[in-house]
Amino acid sequence: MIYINGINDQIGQRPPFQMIDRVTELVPNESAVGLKCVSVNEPHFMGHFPGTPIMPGVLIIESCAQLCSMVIEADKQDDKLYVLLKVDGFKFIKPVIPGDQLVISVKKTRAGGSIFCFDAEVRVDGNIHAKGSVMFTAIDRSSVYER
Amino acid sequence: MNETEIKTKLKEFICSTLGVEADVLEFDTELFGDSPIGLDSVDSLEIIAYVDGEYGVDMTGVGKEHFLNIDSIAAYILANK
Repeated sequence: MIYINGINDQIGQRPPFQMIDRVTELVPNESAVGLKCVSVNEPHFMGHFPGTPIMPGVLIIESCAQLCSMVIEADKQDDKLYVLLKVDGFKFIKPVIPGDQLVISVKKTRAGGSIFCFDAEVRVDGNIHAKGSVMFTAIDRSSVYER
Repeated sequence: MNETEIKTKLKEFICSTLGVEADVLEFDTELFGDSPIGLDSVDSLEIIAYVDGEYGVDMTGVGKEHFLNIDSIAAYILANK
């Protein structure tokens, strides 16, 4: 079990953009299971949607991506940044609403060259709410602002 | 594995993973840039990962002349295997 301080040691995201609250299983470079507790206090619910708060699909993807970061950044190098490269076939099967606890499972499907691919699945109360694939690559931090 | 098998597998990968229609992709069809296929830099990373995983050949940082078409990628694989 990895609590929030342990997560902070491994990934760079911070509030209000931290989308994994706890990691319950972690196999470095292979897979992980993590929790994201959804609160009505999260600011996007003010506008998405007024009177009917639903967690935006892009933030569900971000939750999956941050958990993947835990898997691939186990041996992180300070000069590298792992960034999302591609999102494939994501489905948002049921809405995610305040009070839900997302149980997110990610599993590495392939890696080679500089890319890492994962399948992700998001469940609430045992029911699948979203699933899809995400791909990452490692880039040099120094290259981010080169145009 | 001979050259034709490598090219056939590359074509299968490009069609199944990168969403290119098989009937418009020949071994000498230009893959990137303004060509009708129009692959981009993200696709090139996927090809690099595939070649690495399938043949153990690292194409990271290899010149773009080796990514012109399936023929040139296969030639690089054979030359560096």
